[in-house]
Amino acid sequence: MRSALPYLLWIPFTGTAAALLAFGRFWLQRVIAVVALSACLVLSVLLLLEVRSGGILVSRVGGWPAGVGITLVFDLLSALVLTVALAVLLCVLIFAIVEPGTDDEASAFHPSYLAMATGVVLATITGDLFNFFVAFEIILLASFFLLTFTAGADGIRAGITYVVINVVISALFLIAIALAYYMTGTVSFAQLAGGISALPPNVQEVLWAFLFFILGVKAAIFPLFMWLPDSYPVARSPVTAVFAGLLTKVGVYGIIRMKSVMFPAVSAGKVMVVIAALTMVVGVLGAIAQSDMKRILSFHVVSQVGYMIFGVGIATAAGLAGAIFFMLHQIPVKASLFLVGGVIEEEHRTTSLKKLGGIAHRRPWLSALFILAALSLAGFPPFSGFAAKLALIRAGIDGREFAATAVAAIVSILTLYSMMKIWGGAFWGSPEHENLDETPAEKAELPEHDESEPIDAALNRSVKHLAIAAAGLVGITLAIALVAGPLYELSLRAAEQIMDPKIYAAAVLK
Amino acid sequence: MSLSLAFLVALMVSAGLYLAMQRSLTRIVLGFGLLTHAANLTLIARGASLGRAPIINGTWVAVAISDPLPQAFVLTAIVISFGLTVFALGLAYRALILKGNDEVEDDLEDRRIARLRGERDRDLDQLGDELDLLEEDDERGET
Amino acid sequence: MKRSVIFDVALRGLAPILSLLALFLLVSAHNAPGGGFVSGLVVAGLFSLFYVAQGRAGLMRIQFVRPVLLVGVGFGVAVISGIVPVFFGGDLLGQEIFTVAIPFFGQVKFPTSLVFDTGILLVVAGSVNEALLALTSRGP
Repeated sequence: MRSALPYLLWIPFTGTAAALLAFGRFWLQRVIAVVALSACLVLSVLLLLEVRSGGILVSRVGGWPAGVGITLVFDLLSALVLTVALAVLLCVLIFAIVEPGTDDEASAFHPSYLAMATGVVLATITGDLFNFFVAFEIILLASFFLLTFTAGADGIRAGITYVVINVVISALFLIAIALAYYMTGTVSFAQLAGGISALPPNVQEVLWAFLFFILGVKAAIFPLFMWLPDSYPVARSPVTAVFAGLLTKVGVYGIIRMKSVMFPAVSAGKVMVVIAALTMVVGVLGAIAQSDMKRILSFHVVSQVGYMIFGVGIATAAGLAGAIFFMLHQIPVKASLFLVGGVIEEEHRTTSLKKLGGIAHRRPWLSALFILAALSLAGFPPFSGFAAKLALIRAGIDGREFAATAVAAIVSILTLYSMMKIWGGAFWGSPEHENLDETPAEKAELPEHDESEPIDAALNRSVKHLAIAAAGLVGITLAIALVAGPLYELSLRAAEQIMDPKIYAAAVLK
Repeated sequence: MSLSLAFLVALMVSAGLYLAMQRSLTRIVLGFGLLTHAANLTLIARGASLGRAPIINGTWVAVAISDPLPQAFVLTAIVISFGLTVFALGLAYRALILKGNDEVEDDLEDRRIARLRGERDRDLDQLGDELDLLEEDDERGET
Repeated sequence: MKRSVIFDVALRGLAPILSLLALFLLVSAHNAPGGGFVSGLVVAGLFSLFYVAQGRAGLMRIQFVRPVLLVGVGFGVAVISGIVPVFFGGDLLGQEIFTVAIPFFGQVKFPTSLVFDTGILLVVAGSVNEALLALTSRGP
């Protein structure tokens, strides 16, 4: 099974090529995309089963030794993140296929989507810093395309913010890699571990600060998050779902990986905890101030990233395990909330809470999906968010970070409040038409929500299909809640594994 | 890295950042070019000097040949920046077709919030004025 | 855009030379500067020269397939060349070097990475071509 590792990359990459060749034939592209992602998911699960007791799979592409060639490393952290990420990618893909109205612009959708999947796989299983950068660039190029190819003039404006921020940060990332290479003569994580610990402590701190800044922008932490709530809501719902679920988490994955493997000696815990607390608070306050469902959810992406950084900042195995578990729970929850938003947008052509209302009466199942995911996000027992937050808060108390732990608890109540705001605005009550900001033309476009009016049958059917596709993701969330105990055990084992860089280095440099 | 190269990198980064913050998309694309080239220069400046690199017979040999690894990095980075530039040009072109220019506009939501604040201030001012009038009326009534 | 007759005529002589240069860069890549990306850029430069010399019409005249398909075929070739060594007991993305004796040329080395490089050439040339077509859709 050792040589099976490169196929994780090879499958989605081949899928990209095949989808490009099937340009214009939508059904063929769909089949290719679903088959490629399913195969990749199955392989990832098989490999996860192999490493679950703490082994590390290493594959040297082309036979070059680590430090010269490309090394793929598959430890428990990679396995967990990758499996959940691929499951979410597959669910969102099915949603995107079911969603009507994507066909005409879709000829480039599937190749870009598969390219993004390739990037996610590469980011999680790469064994060196430079390929992590390459993976980020693959994800970025694909995401630029997914974000802007359906966008109108307004989408282009928001897309430009995203593009400029990310390109500037990529250039800085490259400079950071050059500096790391300048000082240590290697980019392999395993060799960097030794190379960096030989540097003077203040140089280590500067290098970590630089990398933390760069990954912080990608992960959208305070005060570097402003691009996120601006650009995410403009894209189509499946695209936003996968962005919100996955892309910031790849940044968090990078922070976890680099902090534990490259900079175990840097004691930046206090700074990270403060930044995490600020991220949580500012994110959730931003969410409370908004009145558009997609924007509220986008601000929650920021707020929830704070929890993961908090877990990393505590710098104990329990804290790290909490962060990993939180990340695993967060990927499907966030994506499913955006997908439910997508179903609503499909039916009502808006996600503004002022224009929505009474969905709970007409679509009880959809409302149930939303409330399950929302309670999960807010950390309501017995859902997955509760287990994740409990793990983090317990780790915080054990790590004697009382103030930040209290902030985490309060923010989770505020999260519940803003979820209830969506519930009250969109699912209960009736739409407010007295909106000062609307022009009369906009008002005329509003669909009427009369109970007596028959809903268009085709729309009704497509909404049902979409809700079923979204239910798949909510199902993953519930499954995580069901297996929370064993999954936390696995996260803890993954955390202990990466807390000791020697294990990693020994496996890679063998 | 020699000091002159370091200064050159600093100059290119600052010029690139300045251009990237302009309104016109064409200038932003030029800024991207400068920024990515600054990063490439940082990488290649490392490769020209010391190194334990060259890969001969699959092992590291410490001889006075320049390190091939940064060159491979730079080649990859050039490919990536090439892709980014083409994408940004495509975006500029699409903006040109959709709007007739390639200027980046203000955020609609920002504008709406700014307008809301303006309205609230105006409302407060009006309220204040009315209160003043009422007080004046009261004073007049008392006298 | 004003077209130059001299440039146009010169391009007719230049085009075969540039194509040969691209081919040379492709096959000489083993142990020498060159490779798929560089030769792809030469081909892409050739496309751009056609656009500059003859306008969009000239660019359209030298298209024989959709450039996106070129990108797809290039990706496909690269991917398949990555898996072929597995069937001969090698690593995925591994490299084998075959030495073939060709009359007049002598011993010629054929690394399997040449196939991969050809794929890269197609990807680069195809994507630049597609970008040129897309970016000039309203131009001359």
